[in-house]
Amino acid sequence: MSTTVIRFTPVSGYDLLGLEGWLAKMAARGLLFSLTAGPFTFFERTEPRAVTVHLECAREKTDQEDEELSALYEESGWEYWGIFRKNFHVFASPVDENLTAHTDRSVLGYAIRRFFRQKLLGGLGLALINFMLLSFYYPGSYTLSVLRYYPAERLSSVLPFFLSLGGLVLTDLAYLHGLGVLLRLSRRVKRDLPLSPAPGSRLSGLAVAAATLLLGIVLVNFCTQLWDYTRPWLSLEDSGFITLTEIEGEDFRLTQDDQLNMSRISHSDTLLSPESWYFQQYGAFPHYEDGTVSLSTVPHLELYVTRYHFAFLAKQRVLEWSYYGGSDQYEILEPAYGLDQVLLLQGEKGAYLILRMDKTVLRADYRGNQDLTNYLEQFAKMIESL
Amino acid sequence: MGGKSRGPLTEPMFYVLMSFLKRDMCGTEITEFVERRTGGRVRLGPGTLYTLLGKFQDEKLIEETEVDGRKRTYHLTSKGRSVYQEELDRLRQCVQDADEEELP
Repeated sequence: MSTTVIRFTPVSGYDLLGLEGWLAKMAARGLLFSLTAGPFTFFERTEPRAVTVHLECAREKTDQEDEELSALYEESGWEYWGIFRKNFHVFASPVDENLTAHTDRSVLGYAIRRFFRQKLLGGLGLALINFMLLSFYYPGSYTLSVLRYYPAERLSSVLPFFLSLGGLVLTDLAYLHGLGVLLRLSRRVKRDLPLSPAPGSRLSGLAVAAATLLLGIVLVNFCTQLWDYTRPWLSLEDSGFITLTEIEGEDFRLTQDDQLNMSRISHSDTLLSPESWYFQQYGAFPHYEDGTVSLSTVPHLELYVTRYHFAFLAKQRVLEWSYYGGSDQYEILEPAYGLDQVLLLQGEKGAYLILRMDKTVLRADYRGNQDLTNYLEQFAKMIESL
Repeated sequence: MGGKSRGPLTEPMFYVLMSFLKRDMCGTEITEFVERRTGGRVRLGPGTLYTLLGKFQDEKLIEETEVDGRKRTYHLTSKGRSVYQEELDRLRQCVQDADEEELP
């Protein structure tokens, strides 16, 4: 059985009396404080002990034991346990010895006020993190304004922002609550009121737990995005994707432009985004940079495929795609080949085809003279093979 | 706290400054000095002493002279001596005032 036990810190990291009470309670259960890592506290499993715990404010943030301090405490009968979040040196003594760490209230008040000022300055750092993280994930006012009309399409681009926002708001609230607790403690010291360890408010602990979860998701998403960028695209040959050549025939000449005539399938899959694929092929044409050719007039096939985690999002995406060109202009075709929805907007020189199979949606933007509905079975197989 | 602008020193502050008058001292020696000097009347908790040493250093009333393992030795500065003297004068004045104003 492991001797190390990890617990989420349930009270504010600035709540000295709350933390002292909690650590003493854990010791009474046989869990002796060892160290902290972020919002987590590590304990060593031992025999239950009835102790008084005292947290001494560090002069400055540190992860090193202050040997002079430990010596002073040990000579007075205290035992050194470790450092709590770089802010406090943790000491304990048997309850029955009734030792007092601070014998001068004005000096204790000075230590708390000093610590409070340090944390107040630390708030500037927190504000900076707020600003940086939110600016990094801000999706832009346009995306936010169209979110109500295109929730399925825009969800993945706004989720990291809203999760960061939620996480930071909770962190800020926990921080402000912690400062409030420190202020109250400072007043108690000044008024010479008793300072017995208290259960401590769980508000900050809950807020930090929720914030950690939200910001953790954003962090994991960021890592998966980095990994996603380095992942090679899928080979066209093995993908089963329909190509423009298949639709137009072997004699059809494709452009030599590598970006417009993709030999691989772009593929993306991150924590907060649905898995998606993109592919495009254009026919040969005088280079568009000479200004004489508009890309929209060139025969082409563009395929957008997205696989959602939930079918209702896939249905919503079909609806959103059908806004392109006006939803009332799309013809709703009889589903076949395992497809759940088939929508077609047929124009004179091309077509938009929207398909849904369970949680997967596909949109084909086609410019050419062929009838895309002849390829429904191939599209269905293609979706199935993803 | 301490000095003209800081108001009177508390007893632990006063005795900690007093402990440096004759020689440099480390934390343990200060605790022993105060215990001995006051006959146990003034108690100096480890948290109080640690905070005071940091505070006096910040205010340049004492300075660190030696680090030997877990032991740090401090020296009273001229500013520290002056603050101590001011407090001593204030206390003497208090006693003098009390003597002149004898109880009936």
